[in-house]
This record gives sequence, C-alpha cells and structure tokens, in this order.
Amino acid sequence: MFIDAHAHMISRTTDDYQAMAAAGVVALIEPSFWIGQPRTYVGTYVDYLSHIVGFERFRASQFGIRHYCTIGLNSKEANNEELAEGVMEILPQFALKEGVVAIGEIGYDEQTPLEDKYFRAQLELAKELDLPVMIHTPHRDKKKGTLRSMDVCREHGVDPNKVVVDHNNEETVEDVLDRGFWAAFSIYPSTKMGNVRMVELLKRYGGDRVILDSATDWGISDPLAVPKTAELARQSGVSEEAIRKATYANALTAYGQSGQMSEADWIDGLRVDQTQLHEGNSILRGGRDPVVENVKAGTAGLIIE
Amino acid sequence: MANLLKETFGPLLAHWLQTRLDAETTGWIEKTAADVPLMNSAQVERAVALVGRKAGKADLALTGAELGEAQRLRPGWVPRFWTIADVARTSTLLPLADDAVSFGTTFRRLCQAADLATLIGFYRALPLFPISDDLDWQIGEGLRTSIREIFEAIAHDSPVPAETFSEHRWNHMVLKALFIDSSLPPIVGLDKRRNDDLAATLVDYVHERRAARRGVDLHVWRCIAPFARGEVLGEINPLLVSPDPIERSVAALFLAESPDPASRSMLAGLATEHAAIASRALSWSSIPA
Repeated sequence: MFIDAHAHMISRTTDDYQAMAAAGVVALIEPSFWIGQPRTYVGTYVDYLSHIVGFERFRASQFGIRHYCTIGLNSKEANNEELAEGVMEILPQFALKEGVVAIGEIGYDEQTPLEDKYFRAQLELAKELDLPVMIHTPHRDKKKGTLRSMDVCREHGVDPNKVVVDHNNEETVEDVLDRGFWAAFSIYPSTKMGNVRMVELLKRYGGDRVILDSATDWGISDPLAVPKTAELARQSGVSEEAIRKATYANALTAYGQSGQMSEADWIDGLRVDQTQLHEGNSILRGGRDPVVENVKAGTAGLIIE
Repeated sequence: MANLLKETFGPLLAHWLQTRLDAETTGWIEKTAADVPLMNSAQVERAVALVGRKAGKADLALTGAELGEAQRLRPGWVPRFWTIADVARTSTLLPLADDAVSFGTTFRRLCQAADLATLIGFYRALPLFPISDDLDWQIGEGLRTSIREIFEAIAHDSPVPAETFSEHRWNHMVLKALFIDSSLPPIVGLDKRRNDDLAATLVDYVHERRAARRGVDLHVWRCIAPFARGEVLGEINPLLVSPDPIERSVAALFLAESPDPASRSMLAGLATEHAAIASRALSWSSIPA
C-alpha cells in the first residue's frame, strides 16, 4: 500500500489513475497549486478549488483511490495582490471541506514581500483552523528559502510536527529533520529528486519523518514515482519498515492530524462503482461498460516499467 | 516621451514591413495603426490580432546591417528572433505609447488574454515601450512563467532588465534562466549587474547541483568570479584539472577575476589560458552558451 503525498491529478489522465491503483497507491493528496497559466480572477480560483474538492475526488474514487487535498494560495499567484486578497477571503470556506488535510502548498517562489505576506497569513489560518501545513520550498535559492520557511513557521508558533516541508534535497534535508519538521521529497525527473539519490538518502537518514511523493503535474513527471522508488529501495536493501514509513505511514500520521484522513478510509477496500455520477456527470465516455468491483488494498501487482 | 517612442521606432518598424510585405498589406497595417488611438479596448485587441494575421508568422530574419540599426537606436536591443507579425503588432501598439500609465494598463489587459505567439511578441517589444507600474507588474508575471520562450522574450536580447530590475528581480531572473535550461550570455548586462548576493546564492546552487550529480552551466562561474574569496575559490578545483579545455578556460577566467590573492597561485597551473586572457584572446564571450 502506498500514499502519494503530493500529486496534481487535475493535470493527469485516467491512464495515470489506473496505473497508480494497479501499483498499490491507495490514497493521494492533491495540493492546490499553480496550473501553469496564471489565474487572473478570484472566480477561477473558486472553481479550481471546487474542482479538486469535488470532481477530482470523485474521479479518483472511480479508480479505487482515496483522494484528499490541501487548500491554499500558491506563492506565484501571491504576487497578484488583487487576486491574492480575494483568494484569502474564500480560503476558510474551502479549508473546512471534506477531505482537506492541510493548508498548502504555501511558501516562497521568488521570495518577494507579497509572497511573505500571504505565506504568513495562511500560517495564521492553519493555526486558527488547527490544520497541518504543506510547505512548497522554492526551486530557486532553495536552501535559503527552506530555512526561511521554517523560521517563519517558528515565528508564528506553528508546531513543526504539523508542518510538512516538501521538495527537499541533499542540501536541505538535515536542517529540516534537525528542526523537527516532516521532510518530504518529490521524486520528479530532472528538476527535483531522482530515485537513485532518494534511496541513498533513505539509507543515510532512515525513514523517520521522511515522506515520498511524485509531485506529478502538467510537466514531464511520473505518477508511479512512489511505488517505483519503494521497489528500488527494496532492491537496494533499505528496510521494509523504513520504506513503509516513507511511502505510506508518515504521510498518514502527518496529514491524519487534520482529522480528515484515516486508514479506515481505504483499509477494507474501496468500492469502485463507475456507474456513480458526480452532479450527473459520469467519467464514462463513448459508451464504455462500467467497472464494478471491489479493489482490495495491496492486492494489485507492483508495476515498475 | 511617448510620441518620441513612436517617432524613434515607428519609421524603422515601417521600413522592415515595407521591405518584407506587399504595398497593400503594409498600407492596411499602417492605416490600422493610425486609427488605434481612437479605438476602445475591444477594438484595439481586435486590431492587434488582425495586423498580426495580415503580416503573417514568417521570421523577420533581419540582416546584420538591420540589427546594427536596431542597436544604434536602442543599445542592447537585439530583435534577432522577431517575426513579421511581432513587428506589425508592435507598430500597432506604439501610437498608444504617448501616455505611459494608460499604455501600461492596456498592455496588462492585452497580455491577460493573449495567445502564446502574441504574448511572446509583446514581451519582445518591451525595449520600445514606456515603463510604468502596470508594465513592470506584467514583466514580473512574465518572469513567473514556466514557458521558456516567454521568459527569454523578456530576459534575452533586451536592455530592459538591466535598466529597470531591482537586484532581487535580477537575481531571480538569472536563477530562473538556469532552472528552465535557458542560457545566460544573451542576458544584456550580465557582467555589469553581477553582485555579491547572486554569487552567494549561486554557490548554494553549485552545491545542490553537485549533490544531485547534475552539471553546472559554465556561465554560473562568471557570475561568482568577482566575489570568489576564501573557500569559494576551492569550488573551481574540478574545472582546474578538467580534461576539457573549455572548462580549464572557465577556471582561468574565474581565477583571473577573483579578488582573493590566493587565486594567483592557483592560476599558475593554467599558464596558457592566463596568457590568452592577458592578450584578450580569451574572455567570457569565448565560452559557449
């Protein structure tokens, strides 16, 4: 059983869902993010958030995967002040919807004053609603950005145990673990973390407080990154316990603090019934026969291509 | 200022169109551009789209002499990748450039719903447009893209970044160029705007890339060189002993620009390269992008 703790399924296909389910992914977390094209109206933001708490949650369920999400204003769009102000007004109503396991992904991109302002405002919102936080560490100037993100959490009195710091690498992991935060790694080709390197890190730091995810999105990325990395780690002699923590148990512990996610949600199997409709819309197109079966967690073969 | 922009660049753009399109098409584009100041915003958007279609998507393919002319009018402006449509759309917007503030508002609105090719052309034309808060905001928006062509339309072949960017925005532009596999040499003013803060961040970047066993763009060393002191000097060691002559040249250029006296003894092993730097046969511009 695997949890992909960071996957932007809104940008992915049904083939990806099928492959993930077949490889043993039982649950995934979809963080609010920047969809590639900048949003220019708060209204499009409302519709996007509705989409990930609504239709995307339904779509995942049609493939036997439990879908959770995190709600937040991403750092790039925080630079559009008019939009950001509007989004801050609507965030609380979305943050309390079913399946929302954190405020996120929030943090820094270019580390501008506006990014800082809305990062802090959302940390306050997380405290107020007693929700975990998912931090996006910047791709550029990562080391300083990561340290700064954690400093600001401390400054706002956010408990490190409720904060997942994502997109770590060799240069940041030690600081994150030493300060008591959860250290997540995105196994994402060419820009973030490769899985051979990840296995080395698992050997060095073990699985405690480490969370693996795919960060799969609109770019060239791999929705099977978590199961593939687990298999690679297994072949390289990493202990089963460390693998289980990093690819399943830690994400559940960290995000389970929201009260919105528990093993009971999938442990007895998730009934797949493709005849279900979401607001009258089926995912079935072109007259395909619906699949109705009981997918038992962990029974799917682990496919690594 | 504004009419000045139109007076300065209008004739050049018109000439480029006249030498590449038939008289009827050029006439139509010129008439449309003349009417633009009287149009409402929807009409402006439509006019910009139509002149682009009339002009066509072919490369402008400026000659060396024409590029030289562009440089003389606007030092740092190198419109080598422009299309004919870019020229037509730019000349249609120039008549609106007499008021920087309202132009910025119009520009921001046009960018909001522009298709990709049009947006790239708008950003390429920044050296010809008047700066304002809205224009500046839109530049920031463009730099946040993950589309390399848009990023390069702003960052490359243009004097605007070096003229108008804060140090923070400049540094992030350089980092972003690396992040999206763009190149540093076409950034105008790359050497002039080097700074300590960028150098320190790039040293972190080198550590990160090496930890991931990924390569480092050679021009990163160019941005670090004038601030390379103490421990940072040692970062160049792998290039110092590299079998690749280009990497050894980079090491020599790096050490030659370092303010740390310790760099002198390190240069001793690169006598050939050092001599080439002294005779001006070797410089950062000799290093491929």
